[in-house]
Amino acid sequence: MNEQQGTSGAPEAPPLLNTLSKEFKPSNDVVQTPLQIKGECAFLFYLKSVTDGDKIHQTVIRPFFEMASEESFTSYIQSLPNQSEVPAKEQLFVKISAGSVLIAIRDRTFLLDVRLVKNNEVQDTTIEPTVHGPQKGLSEDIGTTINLIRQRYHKPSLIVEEIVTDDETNRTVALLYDNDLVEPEVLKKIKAELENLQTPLFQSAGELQHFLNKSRWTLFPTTIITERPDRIIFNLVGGKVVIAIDGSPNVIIAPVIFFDFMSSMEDNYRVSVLSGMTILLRYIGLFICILLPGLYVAMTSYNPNILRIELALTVAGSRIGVPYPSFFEVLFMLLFMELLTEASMRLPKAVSGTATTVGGLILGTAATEASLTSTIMIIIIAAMAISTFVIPINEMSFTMRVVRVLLLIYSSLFGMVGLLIGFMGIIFLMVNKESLGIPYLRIPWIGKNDELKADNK
Amino acid sequence: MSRFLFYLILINMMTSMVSLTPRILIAGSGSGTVVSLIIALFVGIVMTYILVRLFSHFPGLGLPEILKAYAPKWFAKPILLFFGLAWYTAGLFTLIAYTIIIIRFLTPNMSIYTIVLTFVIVVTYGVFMKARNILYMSEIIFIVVVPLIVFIQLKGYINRDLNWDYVRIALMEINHLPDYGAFTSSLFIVIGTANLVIFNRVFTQLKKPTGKGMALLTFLLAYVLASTYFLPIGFGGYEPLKTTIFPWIMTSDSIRMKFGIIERIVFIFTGAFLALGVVSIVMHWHVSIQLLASVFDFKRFKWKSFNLTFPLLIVMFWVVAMFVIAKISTEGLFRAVEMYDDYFTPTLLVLLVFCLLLARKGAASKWRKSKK
Repeated sequence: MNEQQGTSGAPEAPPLLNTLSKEFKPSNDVVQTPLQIKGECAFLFYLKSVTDGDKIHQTVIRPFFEMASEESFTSYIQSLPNQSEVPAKEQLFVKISAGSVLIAIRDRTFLLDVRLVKNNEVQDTTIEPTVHGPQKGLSEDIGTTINLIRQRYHKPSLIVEEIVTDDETNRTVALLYDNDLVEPEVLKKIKAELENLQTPLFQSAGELQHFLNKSRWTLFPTTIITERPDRIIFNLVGGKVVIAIDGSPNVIIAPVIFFDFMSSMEDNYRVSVLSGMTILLRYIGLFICILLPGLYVAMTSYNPNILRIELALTVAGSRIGVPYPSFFEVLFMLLFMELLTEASMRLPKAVSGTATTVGGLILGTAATEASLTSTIMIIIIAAMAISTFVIPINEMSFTMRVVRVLLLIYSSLFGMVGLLIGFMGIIFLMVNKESLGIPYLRIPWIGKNDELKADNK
Repeated sequence: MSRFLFYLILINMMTSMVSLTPRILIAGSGSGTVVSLIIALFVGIVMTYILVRLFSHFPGLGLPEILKAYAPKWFAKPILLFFGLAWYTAGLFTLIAYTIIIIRFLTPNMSIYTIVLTFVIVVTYGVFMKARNILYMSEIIFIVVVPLIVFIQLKGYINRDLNWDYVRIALMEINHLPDYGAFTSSLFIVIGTANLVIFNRVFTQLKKPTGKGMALLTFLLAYVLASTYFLPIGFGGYEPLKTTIFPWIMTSDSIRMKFGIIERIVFIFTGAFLALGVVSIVMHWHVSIQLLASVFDFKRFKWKSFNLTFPLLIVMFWVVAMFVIAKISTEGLFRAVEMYDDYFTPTLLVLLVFCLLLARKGAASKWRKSKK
């Protein structure tokens, strides 16, 4: 901390600055400096490490020495685009530590935003890649993220609302929504949730999403996390609220319904028949992924009579030599597949190739040859693994992995009927879920929404 | 008319299509089922119209709320109790019928308790869902299942084994006086609208029935009623069918898919109807538990500020269901359903209309009073 220079006739620093310096005291990057020329005087207070030194020099220090009087300097500072009101003390601390410079001229104070952000490069889309859509995603810096969104949505009704949360790091959270399209009820709910956030620390969109979800046991995600600007715009137009968090390259979109998780942005970029085909494929994939293991158990152990006789015999024939009941076989293979998926996700790219090869090829063939599983089981596991990844949003595809196990348990206990009723149970669960008051799953007939005016109940 | 109203009616109708109703109809085939079907269709449509009209006077209110507002307590409580029990029994019959179907046609080796246990978790969860969500859920299941059912029907009607002569014989019996048993059981098929006693809570804008809606409903009801009765006869023969318990299952088992992975249509058929059956049980028991909870509201019966009325009721539901399923024989079930249809269904309908008329009158006089 620079002590005040003891030149004679120098005015005392304003009390606000003294309080500030007391608060930030032991830190080495605090700068409190007076500017003095011919009796004219101003004080600066900022943190060296988060502010742009060049900018301060260009916009504050040089003009001060070039200007003739305090008055003209004051009006100059007032006219700067990055100038803002000086908030209450608590907020002021946050602002200063986020990269603002406090300027005191006589008894007036100004706050200039001169943030120095090093993590503002726009990142490539890696989680939800598309062929035709934008190849760049968002940024870790909230300013850049908002810029990326605003640059794609030129309407005055797009509102950006900054909320400073109560957590330990005072991270900036911004709400973005189209004021004309958003449902006020939903907006109110989201704001209330954010303000009542009782959590010491959150660092990413995923974590915040977790805290926004009130109930303790949840299977299905009720908000989407995305990195794609086109998905964000698409949802803004749909009247949804986007929550951006400083430091996270992803944003949260809320409220969402189940079908949002099954849509890829690519669907909009293709010819209608083509995208219809892909959507159909995706749903087939979804059903294969959750039903197949249960179906295998039900068909081999409970109701082989359902299949036509040739197929039933083939299945039974391939299980010759497998020493345990089918549900154990499925569980065993499912476990290895999940392990493989988890392992290849966490490993560095160079090693993950080896893991997949060893796991998939060698383990698969060896397991059948050792007659630990049937060959049909290997096919089923492979089909299941592939179809899991057809679901476009990661969160949902992970959820479906859990759903699959639940259905497997249900059909191991109760057979074919169990699979059917278990599947209905999953539908029950989804239908009974709400995302911020919006029903999670229902058949969306267009134009008939107000027929059953029960949504606001 | 709201589409959800259609689901209430159609699901009730289609569930009873497979259970014991066809047998009751076929049992009376020599004595006047055909005329009863026509009368039941007519009465059912008129009843649907009257009920929807009456309920549209009380937007967003279920029967408990209506009676609470416009009827004395000593009158309301027994009626609600009766309705609650009647709906519970309706759901129970569906449950028993489907349990018997499962044990006969799908998993004969499984214990009957295990089969009931299959339903317990899912149905319990379903019963406790919000009424609105039950309607959404019924829509989803309906839309998934109906193509299968249409496919099966189509397969049935174009099948070469369908002998239209038997259908003609059955039609020839039109010259008999209507059979009461056949009339009431086909009335039960038609009268899904009565579920509005609770589901009207969701319909805040229940409009008066439109001509188009009623015409569509009449067509659908007529088709299902006719199909329920005539298609099994066409497959099974006029005389021999009288000895079967589940004519529809037998009928669907006569149809084969030559190139399908699943060769016997009966499995698709039971699967589709089982799904509808679960929805129907959920609907009936939801109505029942809400009605019963409005009768016995144990305010003091709490555990950590959590009212235990609903859990207690559902546990009782399942205990009774387990007990009855273990004891009852198919023949007993048949008798019970017959009795239920003969006495309960008409009483219930008359009582319901009576209550609503009374309440409407009360509402009108109250309104006049407040105007003065």
